[in-house]
Amino acid sequence: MVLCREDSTYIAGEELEITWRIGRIDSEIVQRVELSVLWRTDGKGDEDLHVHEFFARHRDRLRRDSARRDPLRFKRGGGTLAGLCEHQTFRCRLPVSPLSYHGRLIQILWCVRLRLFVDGGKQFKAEVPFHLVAKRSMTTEASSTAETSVAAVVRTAS
Amino acid sequence: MIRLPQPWTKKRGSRTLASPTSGIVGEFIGFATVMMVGIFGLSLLIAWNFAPTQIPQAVPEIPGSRRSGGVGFWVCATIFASATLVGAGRLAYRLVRESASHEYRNRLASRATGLPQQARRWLGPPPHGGARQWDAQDSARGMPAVPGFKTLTDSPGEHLRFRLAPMPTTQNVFSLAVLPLLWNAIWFVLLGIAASGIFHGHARPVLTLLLIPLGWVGWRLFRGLLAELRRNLGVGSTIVEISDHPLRAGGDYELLVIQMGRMDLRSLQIRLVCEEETFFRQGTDIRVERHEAVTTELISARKIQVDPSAPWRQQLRFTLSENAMHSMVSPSNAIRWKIVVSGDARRWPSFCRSFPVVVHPNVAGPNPSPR
Repeated sequence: MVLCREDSTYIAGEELEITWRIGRIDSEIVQRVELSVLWRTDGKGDEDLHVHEFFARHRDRLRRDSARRDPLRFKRGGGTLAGLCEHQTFRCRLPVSPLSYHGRLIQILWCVRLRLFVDGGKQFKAEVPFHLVAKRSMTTEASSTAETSVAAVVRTAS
Repeated sequence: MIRLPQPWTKKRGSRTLASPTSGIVGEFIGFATVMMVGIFGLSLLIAWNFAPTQIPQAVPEIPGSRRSGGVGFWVCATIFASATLVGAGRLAYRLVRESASHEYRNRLASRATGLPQQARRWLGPPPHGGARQWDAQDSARGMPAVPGFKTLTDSPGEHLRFRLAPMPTTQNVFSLAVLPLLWNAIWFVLLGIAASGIFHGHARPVLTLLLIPLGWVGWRLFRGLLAELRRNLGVGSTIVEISDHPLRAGGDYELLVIQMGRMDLRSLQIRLVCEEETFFRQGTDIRVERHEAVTTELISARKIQVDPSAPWRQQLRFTLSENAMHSMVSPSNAIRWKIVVSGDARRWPSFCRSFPVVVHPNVAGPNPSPR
C-alpha cells in the first residue's frame, strides 16, 4: 500500500488516496478483501477503534470487476482474480477529528488497514499509518501533542 | 510459587487471565450447553404432556385432572424456552462475530448507531424553533469523537456570553443526607413502638434498651450531616462565565470568575487543564487513570477576603494555543478540557471546582447562542 503523500501527513477534511496491490500470493485463493481507513487508540486504556471508511469485496464481485476490465479473458475461461495483482486505487475524504495525538496515557493513531481472507480460513493484514493534523499545525509539527500552552492576561481584579 | 486463593481478597492479575481462544471456546461450550439443556427440557415436557400413551385403555382418566396446562407446566416451558433462545442467540452472535473482521463489525455497529440520526433527518427539524440546536448538535456529530456541547451552552451568562456548569461532585449533600435521615426515621418508628408498648402495659425492655445505642449512632450521623452542610454552604458558590463556547485552538477568550460566600482564603487558583482519562480492565476491576497533560495557571491570588456583600471577582483573557488538542471521547479513552477553581480557606476545608469546556478542532462551524 502506498499513500499519495510521502510524509504521510494529511490535513483534517482532506482527501486521501491510497494505491494498493496484492503480490506474492496466488490471487485465485483470495476469498475477500477488506480495506479500511480507521483510527484507534493506544496506551494504558483499553483499545478503541473506529472505522471511518470501509471497502470490502467478495471473490465473486472481484471476478466481475476483473472481467469488466478484461472482457476477453472473461469470455475465454471465466472470470479471474488477476486484477488484484495490478495497482488499485482507493480514495476517501478524511474527517475533521479526531486528530492524531501522542500523549502520556493515550495515543490516537490513524492507519489504512488491508485485510485479505484466503482459502483455508487464513487471513493476512497490512497497515500503513498516517497522521491527521489540523490545518495550522502543519507548519509546526506533524501531530498534536500535549505540549500546548495558554497565555493568560489578567485584565481586572477587584 | 503457587498462590493459594483467598476468598476475602479481590482477584488481581493481568487484564486477560487466559488466551482469547480459550475464552471463545469456553463461551461457545457454555452457551451450547445452555441451548442443549433447554432443548432437552422442552422435548421432555412435550413428550410427557402431549405424546400419546402406549396403552390408553390401561390408564384410567381421572375426572378434572389434566397432565398439561398447569402452572408448573408453563413455568417449566418458559424456563426451557428461554434457555434455548438465549443459548441459540448467543451462539449465533458469537459465530457471526468470529466470522467477521474487527473493522467489519465496527462498521456494522456504526451503521446501527447512525440509524436514529438518519431517522431524525427524515423527520425534519423539531417544532418550537429547535432547529438551531439540532444544527449545533449535527455539527458536533460531524466531528467524530468530539463530545457534544449543547448542555454546556444552554445557560446564558450575566456578564459574558455563557455561564459554565460545574462538574457534579461525587459526594453531594443529597447522598450524604440519605443515611442519617433514614437511620433517624427508623429510630423514631422504633421509639413509637416502644412508647406504645409502655403506654398499653406491654413494655418491650430489649427494644427500649436497644434504642439507646441506636439513638447515639443516629445523633452522630446527624451531627456529621450538619457539619458537612455547613462546609458545603459556607464555601459559597463559584460562577464561571466565558465569552465563547466551544473553544477552538488558537482562539482568544475572556473568562469571568466570581467566588461567593463568607471566608478568608489563603490562596485561590484558576487553571485551565487538559486531562487524559483512560479506562481499563484489570482482572475483574475496571480502573480509571487520569493525567493532566496540560496545566496552565491562569491566575493565582493570595490572602483574599470574600464577603456576601462583595464577592470576589476576576475577569481575565487567555489565548488557547494553536497546537491544542481538541476534546475527545471514546468508550475507553477521553481527552477533557476544564477550568478548575481551587481555594484554600482558613476555617473551611480546601475546595476544588471544575467547569468542563469543549475544545473543537480548527474547522468552520456554527456559532451557538443560548439566547
